[in-house]
Amino acid sequence: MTTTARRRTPVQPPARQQLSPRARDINWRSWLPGVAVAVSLLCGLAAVIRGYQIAQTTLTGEAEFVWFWAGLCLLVVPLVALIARERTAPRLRTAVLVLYGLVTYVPKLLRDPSSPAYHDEYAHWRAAHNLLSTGKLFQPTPVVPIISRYPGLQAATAALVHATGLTIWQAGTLLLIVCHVALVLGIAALAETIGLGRGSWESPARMPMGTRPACLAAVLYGLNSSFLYFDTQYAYESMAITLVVWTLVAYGHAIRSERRPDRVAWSVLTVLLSAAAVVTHHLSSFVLVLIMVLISVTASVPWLAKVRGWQRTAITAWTLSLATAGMLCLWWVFVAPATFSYLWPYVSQGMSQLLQLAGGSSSGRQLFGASLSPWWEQESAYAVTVLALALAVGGLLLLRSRTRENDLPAGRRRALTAAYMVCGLVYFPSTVFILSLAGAEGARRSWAFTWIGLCLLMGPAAVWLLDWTKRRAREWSRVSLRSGFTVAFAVAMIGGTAAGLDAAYRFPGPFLYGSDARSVTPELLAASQWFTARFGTGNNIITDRYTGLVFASYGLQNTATSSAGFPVYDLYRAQPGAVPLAPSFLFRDMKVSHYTYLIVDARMAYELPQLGVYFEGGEPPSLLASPGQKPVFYGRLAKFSDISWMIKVFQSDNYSIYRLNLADATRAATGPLKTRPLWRLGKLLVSR
Amino acid sequence: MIGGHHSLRLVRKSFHRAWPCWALLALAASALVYLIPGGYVRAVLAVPVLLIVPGSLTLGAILGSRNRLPDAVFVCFAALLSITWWVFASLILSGLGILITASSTYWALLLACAFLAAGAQARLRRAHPAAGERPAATYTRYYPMAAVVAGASLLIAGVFTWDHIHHPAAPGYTWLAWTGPPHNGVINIGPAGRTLPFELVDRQHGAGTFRVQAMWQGSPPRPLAKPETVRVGPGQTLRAAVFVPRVPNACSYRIVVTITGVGQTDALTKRPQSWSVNADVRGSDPPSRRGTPAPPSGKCRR
Repeated sequence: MTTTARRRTPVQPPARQQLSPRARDINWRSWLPGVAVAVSLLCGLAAVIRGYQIAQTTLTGEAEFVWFWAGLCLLVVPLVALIARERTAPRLRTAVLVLYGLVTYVPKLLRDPSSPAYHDEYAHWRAAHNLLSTGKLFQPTPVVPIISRYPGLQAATAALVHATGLTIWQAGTLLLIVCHVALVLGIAALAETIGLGRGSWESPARMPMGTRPACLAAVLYGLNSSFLYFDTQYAYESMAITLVVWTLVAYGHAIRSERRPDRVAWSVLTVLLSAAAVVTHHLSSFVLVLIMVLISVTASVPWLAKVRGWQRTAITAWTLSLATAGMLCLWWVFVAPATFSYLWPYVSQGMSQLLQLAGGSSSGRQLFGASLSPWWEQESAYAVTVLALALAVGGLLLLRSRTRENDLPAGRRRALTAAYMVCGLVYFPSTVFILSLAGAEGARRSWAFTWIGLCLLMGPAAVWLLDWTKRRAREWSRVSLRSGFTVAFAVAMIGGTAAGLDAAYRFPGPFLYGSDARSVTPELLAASQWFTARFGTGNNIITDRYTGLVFASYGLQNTATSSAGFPVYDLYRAQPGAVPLAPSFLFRDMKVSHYTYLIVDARMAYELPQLGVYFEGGEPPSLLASPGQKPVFYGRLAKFSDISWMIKVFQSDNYSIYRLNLADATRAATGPLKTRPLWRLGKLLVSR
Repeated sequence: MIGGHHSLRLVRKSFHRAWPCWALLALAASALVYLIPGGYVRAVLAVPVLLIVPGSLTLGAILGSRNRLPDAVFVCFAALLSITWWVFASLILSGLGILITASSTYWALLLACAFLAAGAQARLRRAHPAAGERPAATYTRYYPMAAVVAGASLLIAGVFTWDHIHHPAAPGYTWLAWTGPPHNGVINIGPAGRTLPFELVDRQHGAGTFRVQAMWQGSPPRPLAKPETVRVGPGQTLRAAVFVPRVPNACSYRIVVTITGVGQTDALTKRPQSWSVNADVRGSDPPSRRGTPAPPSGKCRR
């Protein structure tokens, strides 16, 4: 159409008065859901805030949980309903999914909007600070030393800080909000890459995303235990998991591309993104390699993949998998050689504890042993596995029927689907590891990855269920079934979250000894500030895990990591008057490594740590007394004031700071002070 | 009005034909935001450019126009590739031994984006003349953008509300510490004696009465000074000092300053709350056998 022609027939907007009363009614009705969703979101936000506000004043109660979950349901359920609605347009569904991503960041954002709260967040804060203050990567980082070898998150944060002038925490939060929303969209994109919801597998990707099964899969992914809190914390895994998902999206495109230039282009993107994952997080990049290898295997099995040009697909898949594995190996060998020794204990101890459990020589780990969660949250944690199993079985049955109806013929689509199916089904055996102390952490962390496959299996089953509900003839039957699904979703969301992190991590609250997220008090911050102001930064100090978090991050000090080879806990555990106070090699090492300060939290002698450890990992189990018994440090911490080589330079209500004068190891071994007092009077000069 | 539409169409057309150059220009111009003080305004201006430009240029250079992606997928890929470039820029700078600063990061990104823009532009030229143009936009394309605005507003509203609602008062605390220059070992006390300053910082919610004592540590301990009772208001700091008289010999002795809260009970020990610091002091005289009024036991701790 020419410009002249357009001038002749200008398009007139329809006048309002031209609309019929019915049309106006429909127009008004079309706004109603939007208004209802907005009101629901605002009410949900208010309820979450109220829940957190109540939690601040009580150590544990039910009210904060009720308010919080009511709020989160108000935030999430209307959006999920919009996504699940068949009539929702794809673009609107994508928009709602974006909103879902942002809304699900609310709990973590409001948990502590202005500062780190979790253990790893302090470590990453320090790593980013080190990068910004020195301008160099790979600076040693206390608390979690391995993170200095994976500088992805801190480098990205530093770039944002440089460009915007925001603080580290603000820049990090912004970065993670972007990653969180991208993660949600990435799951939907991944689902569409394997053809979920697409009528035709080979159709070009030019359609707007937002198919119903794909978006529902993304929503179901949000039920995994890491989604709301763990993978939203300021830590390398939160960024890496998004990179992993989008690498898999690019990888899927590379595999399904028919034309060589397209295949090459997508392969380059895959390599770029996987390289970013490799330099960001060890476990995520390792799991990425495993998933890629799994896809390569299924792409090489004729029964699954055999179609014209399937060898080319297999070669592409294997080449990219090996390229990623190669990058990972090179990084592990040349940049982060400590990775293996860091990860291996979790795997080996988990396995041995499980074997002991199977052999009956160990009683295993008590689930929700020291949890502050109410009973219904704990029970929901079991329900999420049941729901996942039911939907996974449904997904498998659907796959079976589609295969029988030749709706999923051998080819790339079937190969990809099979790979993600296997990846998802790994979730169920991994839940067994939750029974072992060492394996529980690894199992929980694996769920963020296994649920990538699981949600792709569950998405179509959820759609089938909703469609089946729609076909019910009776209105009451449809309504009650949909209400049932809503309740099941809410229960799964509650249970999935409760299975991941304890309430002490999820809710703000009063001080709780031995909990990373509730150990930081104004008193501790003041002690750290005083220390830095008086002695400067970069001092090597010995302290417990919870005091060390603040001293090693905001305080910019270097805290010791305890281990059998460096048993600093022996200093605390020693009986008053014991000579020597600890093994002589410890004094030698302390002197060689210039440990000059010891910080003692008096509560160690009176309270059991909520997390079950006083120091970092590696402390003997004997340090932890049974509930009801007095802690092993009871009556043993006042001795430091009488030690000849320790000077007490600071004391607050709970913290004491001692300067260590380790002139030589012999003197250190002399132990308590043995002098008579002097008999001379001085004077106190007190200004009033 | 129609002329306006026409010029808008021309602008759009020229943008689509040379979008990599425009994107590069936007990144180059983002240097101007450094003129604005760091904070939210600068972030609002800088983040969209920094988050979209490097990634979209990468997509343009690698994929060209053949693999046109859905908008949401394109934006996510662009954002993650941009973040990837931030990381790679730091790694490259680190590899070259250049300090990672605001300016070095900016120049590294600009250089990388210049190459990517050249690649993207070349691919655009090789493609069909109409390849760069996108299909006519309908308002539904902007739904995700509206969702971003709505979601971000919700998050901001949440943080604002959280910051402005009533929170329980943080528990108070008190601390005692030495002030003055730090001593790394035993403090030498000259013939005229020496004053050692200390401070008591009270961050409790009410005023407190404290009993200040200074003692020579030992068994039994001896008083170093006459005790004092002081009252410290909430949020106040008590600055005080202990005068240590001449120490008769070169032996070292430990002094202890203890402050006890009158009527305050330690929640852990159920005993009166007290705070103490100590220090080792030494005289400059040689050790004496006969000693002074209360001689040390003959053993010097040097």
